Amino acid sequence: MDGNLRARGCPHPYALDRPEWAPGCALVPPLKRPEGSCHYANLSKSQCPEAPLCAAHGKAERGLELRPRKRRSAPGFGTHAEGGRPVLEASPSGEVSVSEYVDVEERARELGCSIPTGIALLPRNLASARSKDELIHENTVSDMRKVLREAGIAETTLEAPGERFPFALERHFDWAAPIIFVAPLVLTENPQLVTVVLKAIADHVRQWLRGVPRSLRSVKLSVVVQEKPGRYKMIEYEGPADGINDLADLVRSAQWRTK
Amino acid sequence: MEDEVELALQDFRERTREAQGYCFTSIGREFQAAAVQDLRELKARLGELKRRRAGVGNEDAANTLLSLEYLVEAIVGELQMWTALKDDRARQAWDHLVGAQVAAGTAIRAHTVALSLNAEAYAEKLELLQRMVFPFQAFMSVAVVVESAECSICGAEDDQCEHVKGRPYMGEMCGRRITKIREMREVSLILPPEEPADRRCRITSISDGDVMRDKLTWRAVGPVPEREVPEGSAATGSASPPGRDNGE
Repeated sequence: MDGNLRARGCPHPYALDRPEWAPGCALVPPLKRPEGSCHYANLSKSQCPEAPLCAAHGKAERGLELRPRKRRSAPGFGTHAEGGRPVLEASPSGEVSVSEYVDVEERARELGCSIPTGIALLPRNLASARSKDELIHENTVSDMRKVLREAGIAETTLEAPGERFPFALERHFDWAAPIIFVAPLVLTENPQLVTVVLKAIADHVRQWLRGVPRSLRSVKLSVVVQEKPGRYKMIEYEGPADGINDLADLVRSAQWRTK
Repeated sequence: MEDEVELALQDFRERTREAQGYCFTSIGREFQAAAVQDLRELKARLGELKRRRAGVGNEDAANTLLSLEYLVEAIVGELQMWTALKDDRARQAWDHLVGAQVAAGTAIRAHTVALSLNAEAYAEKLELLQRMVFPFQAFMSVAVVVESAECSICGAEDDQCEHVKGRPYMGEMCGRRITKIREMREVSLILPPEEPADRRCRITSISDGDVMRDKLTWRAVGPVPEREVPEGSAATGSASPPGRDNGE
């Protein structure tokens, strides 16, 4: 901390490095930030604590300008399939990115798991796990399975009957759904199932987020679909729960259908 | 709504209106302490009625009363925060405020009656209080891999029952008890805009270079612990403010 500031009685030890953490402190020099940038650039506009005065988020809101957002690390402790350059898609209420994903069928076979043939909740590190023992689910997996059962949706799990993968518990506030896999057969046999699945999840999340401060009401959800045989896409969504329903069309359009 | 529950709601409105009139810094400590006592009695009455309603299988009434119980707890927490601050017990004040925030959020999730009682605005007020009354805080977080957990409602393995975490069942919120941890992955520092799951898990003191200081009161709480320097390292032994060297 700057000696002068301390001598003058400023109680903010971070003041010079992060003046935005000492808002209102008369001893801290005013925050200078490049025009149009935002300290909270990694947040969606609905989360930005400086909205609606924030120039960066305000601009995105008015003109729906999509900036290539910083690629967040793959869900879990691993990484995505190589060469998965994200493609940005416009979404009315959240941020959507599309990237390559590993061949789910092949990975399941390699790891000795059951091969999903319908809707399945995938472990967060399916793409990078070296063995079946390393597979880890998101902590929301058991609730999501119950929600799907409530909605009358049968899941074809990677786990064999009686088998259970552990789940990761991270003590920071974040609602992240497990990766939802939609097999091609699903759309051939019942194209509306994707809508039912996403609606069930959106309803559950909306209820879950009640009572959570507005700035934290954001969810992360990924859907993996087969684009064509042997090639899979991951559609990642981050934003308000209401935007989850809008993904159904995107999933259907990305999905390869069996004849 | 049943007459008995309607009466309880009326009782709740009257008591909490009065108690919220004491939720200010300038109000005498004795009034705030008396209001806490009064609200605790109200909570006991609501709890008793909730058990009776749950006993006859009236889930909606039981969940309504559960929501009211949590709202009472939230106001008690706020009052206790003010009294703790007056007693110069900043740490307890912080914990009471976080407890109030959690209780208000749970009340909203427990039943829609909380929304009709404007609990969302109250929860926002508690968020504002945190920012206005207390200085910026940094938090710690751990990541673990959980092997097994059980349902707090029925005690079954987490995935073997139909109770969903965070939902109310017959006057009781469903939670998850961790029974077996496979491994611990990491301990991390949580700084804004990230949010910890538990705001009580915070960094309580930091070094200002000379002494360790309490993050809430800025009082010196002890000498700076000696830093262990690995053999052969060129690092000096002097401590620096954590904001500079722990990365972001």
